[in-house]
Amino acid sequence: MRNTEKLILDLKDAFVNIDSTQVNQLLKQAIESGISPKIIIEKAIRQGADEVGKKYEACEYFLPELVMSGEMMKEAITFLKPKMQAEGITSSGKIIFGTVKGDLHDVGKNIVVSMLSVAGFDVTDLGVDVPPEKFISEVETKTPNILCMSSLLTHTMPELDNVIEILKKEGLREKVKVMIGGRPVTKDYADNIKADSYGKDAYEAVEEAKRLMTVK
Amino acid sequence: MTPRDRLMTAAQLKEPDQVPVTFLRSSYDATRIGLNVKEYIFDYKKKLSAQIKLHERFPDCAFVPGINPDFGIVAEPSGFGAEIIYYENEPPMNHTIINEVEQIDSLKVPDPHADGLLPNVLEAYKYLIENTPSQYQVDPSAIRGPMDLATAIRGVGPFLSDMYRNPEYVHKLMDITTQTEINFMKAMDEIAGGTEIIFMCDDIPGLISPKFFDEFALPYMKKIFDSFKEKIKFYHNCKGSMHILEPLVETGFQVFNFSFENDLTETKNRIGQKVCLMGNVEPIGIFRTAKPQQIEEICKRQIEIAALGGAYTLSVGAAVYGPDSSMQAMMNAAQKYGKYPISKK
Repeated sequence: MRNTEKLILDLKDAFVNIDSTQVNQLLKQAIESGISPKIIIEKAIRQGADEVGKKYEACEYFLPELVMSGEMMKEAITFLKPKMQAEGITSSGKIIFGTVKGDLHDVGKNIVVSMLSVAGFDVTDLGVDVPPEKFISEVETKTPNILCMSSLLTHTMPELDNVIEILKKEGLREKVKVMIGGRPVTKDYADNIKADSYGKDAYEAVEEAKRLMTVK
Repeated sequence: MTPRDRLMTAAQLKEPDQVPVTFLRSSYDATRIGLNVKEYIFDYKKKLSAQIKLHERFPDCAFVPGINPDFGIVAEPSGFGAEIIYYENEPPMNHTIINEVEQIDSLKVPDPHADGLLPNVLEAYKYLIENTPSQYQVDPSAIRGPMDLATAIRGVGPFLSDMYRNPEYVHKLMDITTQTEINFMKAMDEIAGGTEIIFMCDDIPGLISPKFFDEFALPYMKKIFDSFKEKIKFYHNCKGSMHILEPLVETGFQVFNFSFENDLTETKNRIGQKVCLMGNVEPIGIFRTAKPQQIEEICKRQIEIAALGGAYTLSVGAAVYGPDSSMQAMMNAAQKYGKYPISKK
């Protein structure tokens, strides 16, 4: 096996073993060896995250491992971003993401943000308890392709509808695609409030984001 | 037997006269009668009235804790200075306070007589003891489990990644939250001159691996329960816990209010001889929305699986109530199908 192939394999294994120290060391080595950041992300980080996801589905891994997977993805993207920009690797699309007003949950959102970043999207994470006016001003000023909103509480779900209504009032609704998610949120609810998309989990969110980029 | 007597008999792994029906009490006592939750928390007279109304409406149900101060899940975090968010119709929540893990080095165990809302809880408890009619049982507030409290002030994501990145700080924080709960419970004991039960609500341990449970949760939960050996110990966890059933029992509780995500048959087979099971009807798709007849059928099946020999109470597998019709359906099922002795089907 060539050195670069072994390095990529070792990096993927370190990721799957949730060894963030080793992941960061091997990331540096991979870049110094001249491996393209695109290859690093696709062959090591994304495949590593997929394997972590499978172990979670098989009940070998639990939420701490998913959280760490999300954090390691975020750290990898942050480290690789300047190299990607230098190589002219363009983003798959621009996304604004936040948990709605009154809701402090962010564990699931953070994992989705990381997965979208690894999938090549440029994601701005507004955090939690985001008031509607903040979503609106970000859409106005940053002109994202997709606005993602999450709600983990049934009583904060109406905020999802509220933001969509304000987008309409401000004449911004046609300028951005809206994807929603979160534990109590369903596809039926998304359809009822005329969101463009619904992501059941992080993997579906990534696929839906890619699909939305192809929709006028 | 009163509903409370039934529950306590089942808690001691015996057969009462009938399968008990038990619900974990919450601020839904307020919302079901249109009372604002913040008002319910701070107006002790209205709190008592709302809780009594629930007992009057469902005299054959046990609610646990009984009449109690019920400040939701924010009392202990407030003791650390956490900012509280109040909602009209939902239990309050709190903002986290630990942004950098090193802040744990200077964290102090709150004084239940001085810090945050803790003195208010003690004040409310004193009011309830002095003003509750004698036919109702007054209990201390449910306490948070040490890991739930740790994540409430650190944040769930940061705390879970601390298990990998900063395990020594996880132990430091768990020491602090464990002592917080012990001190809080003892302060309530002092007010009442001793209490019958301790009720711990603690979901986060269901989200971690058996290895991390053994290291970061079990010793601390055990320390709390060991500090109150004389009490009947209740434990609520509405996350799936099939992967940690036996270690959970090692912590020392006697009644397990477990998740709808658990398989009832397997849970009963593995730990049903050691602890009383309280649950686990699915709370939203079934208990909040299904027709009463369907709920009765499901409860009948629950009884067939889990009630033989006692050590079981019907309940939902989460900290919620349902519409009155659903709660009535559960009680009807207990009356129709839950009279002891129950034969094996």
